[in-house]
Amino acid sequence: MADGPAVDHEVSAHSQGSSTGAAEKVGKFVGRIRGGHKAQQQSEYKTDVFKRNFFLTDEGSTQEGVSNPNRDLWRNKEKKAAPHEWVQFSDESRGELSRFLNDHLKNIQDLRKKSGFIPDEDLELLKLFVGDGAKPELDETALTDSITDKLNDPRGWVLGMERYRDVQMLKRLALGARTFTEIESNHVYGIGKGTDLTMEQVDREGFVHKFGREKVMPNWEDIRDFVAKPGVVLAGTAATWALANPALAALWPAGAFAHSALDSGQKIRDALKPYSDAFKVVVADKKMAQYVKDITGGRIDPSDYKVNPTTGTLELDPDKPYYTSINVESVVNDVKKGQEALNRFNRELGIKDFHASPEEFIFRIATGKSAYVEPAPTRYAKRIQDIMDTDPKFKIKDRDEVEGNLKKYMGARRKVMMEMIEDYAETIVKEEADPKSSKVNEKIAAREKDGRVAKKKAEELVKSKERLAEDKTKILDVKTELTSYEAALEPLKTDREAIKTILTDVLRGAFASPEDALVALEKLTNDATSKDSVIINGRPQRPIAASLHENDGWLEGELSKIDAGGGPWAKRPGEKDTAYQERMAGAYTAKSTEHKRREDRIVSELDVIDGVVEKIKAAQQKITKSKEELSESNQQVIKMAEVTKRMEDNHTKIIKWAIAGVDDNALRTLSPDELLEKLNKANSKNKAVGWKSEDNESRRQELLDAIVEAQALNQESLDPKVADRKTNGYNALHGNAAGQYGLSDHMLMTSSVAEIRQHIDDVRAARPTAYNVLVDSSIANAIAEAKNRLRVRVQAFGAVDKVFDKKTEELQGKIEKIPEAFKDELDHLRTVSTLIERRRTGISDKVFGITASPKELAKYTSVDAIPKIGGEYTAAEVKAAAPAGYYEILDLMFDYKNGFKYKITNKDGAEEEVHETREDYFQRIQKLLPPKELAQLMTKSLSGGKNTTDDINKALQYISSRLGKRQDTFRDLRRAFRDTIDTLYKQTGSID
Amino acid sequence: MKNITTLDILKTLPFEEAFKSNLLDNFEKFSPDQQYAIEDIIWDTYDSLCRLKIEENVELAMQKAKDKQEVLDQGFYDRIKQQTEKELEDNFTIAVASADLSETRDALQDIIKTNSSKKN
Repeated sequence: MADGPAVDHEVSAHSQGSSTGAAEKVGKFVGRIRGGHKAQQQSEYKTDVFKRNFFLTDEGSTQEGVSNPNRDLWRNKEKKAAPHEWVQFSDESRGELSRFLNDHLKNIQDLRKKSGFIPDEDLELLKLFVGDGAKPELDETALTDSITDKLNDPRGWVLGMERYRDVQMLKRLALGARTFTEIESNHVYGIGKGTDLTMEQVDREGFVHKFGREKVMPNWEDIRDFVAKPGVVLAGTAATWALANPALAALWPAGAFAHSALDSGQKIRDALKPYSDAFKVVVADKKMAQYVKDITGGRIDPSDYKVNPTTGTLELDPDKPYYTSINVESVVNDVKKGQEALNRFNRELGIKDFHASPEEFIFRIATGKSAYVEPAPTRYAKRIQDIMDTDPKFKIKDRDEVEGNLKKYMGARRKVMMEMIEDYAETIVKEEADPKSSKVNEKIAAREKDGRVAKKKAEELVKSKERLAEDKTKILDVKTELTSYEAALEPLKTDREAIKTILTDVLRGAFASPEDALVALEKLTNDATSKDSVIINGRPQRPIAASLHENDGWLEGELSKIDAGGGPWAKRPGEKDTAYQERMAGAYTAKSTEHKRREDRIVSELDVIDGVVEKIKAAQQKITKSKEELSESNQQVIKMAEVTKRMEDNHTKIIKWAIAGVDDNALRTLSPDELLEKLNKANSKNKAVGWKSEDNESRRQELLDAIVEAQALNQESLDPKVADRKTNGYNALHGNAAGQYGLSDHMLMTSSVAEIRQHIDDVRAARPTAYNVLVDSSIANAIAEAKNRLRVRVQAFGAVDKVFDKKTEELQGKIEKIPEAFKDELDHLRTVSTLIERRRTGISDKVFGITASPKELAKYTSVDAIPKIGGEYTAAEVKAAAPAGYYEILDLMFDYKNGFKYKITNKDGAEEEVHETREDYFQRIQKLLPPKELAQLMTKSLSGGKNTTDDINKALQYISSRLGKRQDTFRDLRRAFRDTIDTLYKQTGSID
Repeated sequence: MKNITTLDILKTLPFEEAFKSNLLDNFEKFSPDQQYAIEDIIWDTYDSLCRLKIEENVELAMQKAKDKQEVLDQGFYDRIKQQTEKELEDNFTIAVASADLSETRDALQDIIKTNSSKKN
């Protein structure tokens, strides 16, 4: 015991310092050294030759000579050490483990330096090989020396190989299906070649079947299909009993995958699921994911994977190019090499090829057990051997008595099988059954009033409604930008209206522009030569510049005539001087009065003319001022231009994603949430389309813009004049193509025809041939269209608002009628629930009677048409137009002819019984299991996928023929129903 | 013909008696999930036993073929399989009937015991 305390100290440190599996294992084997093998000295402890029981217990191991034939290894949980045997690992194993440890320890040393996540198992490894206190890190040479030293210690081998296996497993997980298609070539090969993971050939055939295949070739397919299922071909050992039940298969690590693999591609995928589940854990755990990336030198990056939200399966992230970080080939090579190393290690330990590690992992995951699983199938094979060795009933006495010995061997297998099943059944009895029924019923309850899913749905709908209210506010804000601009245009509009009124009402439309009017009006007063009158307020206004001058001349002339005294102004005979002077004074006064009257009239006319001129000029000044206020630098102008351009641009962008189903009609009729769902869905398939749901919040405004623009475009399309205005004016002035003027909507809206005419003339004067000629009517069209564009966009907000109101109402309606949202799901779930509930008493217990009675078989497989009249079948059944056997099978499965009763919680929270009529019930179950589906599922199961048909008539004939000729039995029929129900149950997996 | 139920099959399976009785006696007390799982176990076990029997007979027939006592023709496999199925079915119905009789006998014995104890 001189060296004992040192060992004890180690044990204590390990067992107390950590609760990890690795530490326990170290403690366990050192414990064995202490307790069971005290004779072994420290000198033996540090060597390259080790006792085999450092590595193995006898439980389940297959080393010859280890077993105690009197001990019941299968059932007895006693763990005793194996007899002493010596193991010396080869240079290849030592070299491979050293290489691995070198790389791995370097990686985890680095991880420790940067405080990365390190699993307990690696900490244990570091403790042993590097130390955890004074020497936190070793340089390359020291590390190599430490590894060499510690591999003279069995603990180094145990911990090292444990980690080797674990890293090997992580690589396998990352490879997924490729593990099976490429790695297990010594075990199963051919999977994946050609079609979807089908099995082409299996090696390790038993001699009997090899003989059979060679000699009975014509029947080989059948034989192979048959014998393959029990696993005979694969194992060639006792592991041959049927593993049809995946749950039972889990008890048989070596056979589980093989059986599934042989069965069908689907089962392979099922078998891979635990693999995928295990890696899902790694993907989801950021620390662990980083660890995997670090310890594989970045060659495996779990972030390349994501969980498909619909199927729950693990997939390479479609957003990343496949295998960006996984160097698949190098990982495959690593795993192959690693597998060889593990096989060699096991062989050197005395274990047969370690060919079952993937299946073992599945076993561990599937059963939730973390205990070490030894190489299989040794444990069970050994139990058979034990029975044959110890039970007189199965003991072989005469080695040449082949038939008897074979029966004994089969008998022993039967016995082991029953033992295994009993053990498995005990776990079921202890409440560990797969909760199929509970799961389905929980899902049903979740969808009823106040159930988990119903509440969640209600919350989602309420949130959607709230978002819609927020959207209404958002579009109102945008609308305000446009209406504010519109308001700013009002003074200008008023001024232009004032001028227009003068031109049309006062001047009776004689002038196209105020400028023309001013010229004409000014001519009336300034141009003495002008003879053109102007109609003002309906009266022709003659030119008055000449009249004023003429009036003065007229008075002079008239006075001169009086002064000349001739004619009426001559002194009359007998007229007294005073009378004559008085008469002359009167004449002067009259002429003067007349002159004044004429002058007053002219002045009055001048006032009228000047009044009009002043009005025009005042309006023109106002227009100039308003236009100055509405310059391009005005914020309202800038905002309007921004908003309208943004709406157009966002609409153009989104409408391009027609593949997402977001067209103008969708934009006008769906809610933003409904549209976003489409965009997100399309983006998950093609990232060039739409955007991710995470971006919905930040990009929502883009969608709202597109929605308003779509409404505006729709309103434009309803106006027949829009096209003409665009073609004849707007495009030429607004467009930027060659020959077009590129005037903004704002410029068009704030300019008069004359102003634009002037602009055109100026532009053309500089480059006459570069620009199109436009008549005034086209300019007017352009102005009108610019104004129309703004107007319809403002109006579009109103239309959007109405749609949002309608959607809000719809959401409210859905909130109030939540259960209806789940009708399809509830129909599916209730139908499957019925099948689960009825399977034993309704189906399984009747299959024997069906196959044993030709009359019964004929009833269920009848291809006769059902009577359309007479009332035997309901209208829905007649409409289904299926053969009679279909209805009988459905009745067997669902008892539908008696209708269906179930309980629901009504809106008042009370339990209420619902009675579904035969017809309604038929319609519900037919939706889940229409003739095609039933035909497919049943024939797929019965024929092993070889004669699957969706033709119900052919399917019924197939079933009838197979059962009638006893090619299939009632067991097969029951399995077909079970598989059908399992498939329908699995479909509920997509319902959360 | 009488239907043979899942529990009838359970009665014929070569489980340990105590285990079998526990399942039979408590079957209706198990949860629906347990019943569903146990039903599969019963059927899969029976199915597996049948397949094992067919395998056994195929191998025995192969041995016979080596001694020219069996013909390795195209119908070899179907023939052996159908013979075995018939044998299995016959044995099965007998076993079910026997299990029923056994139940009846047990029930009668209980009655006799009860009666005799009453007399005593």
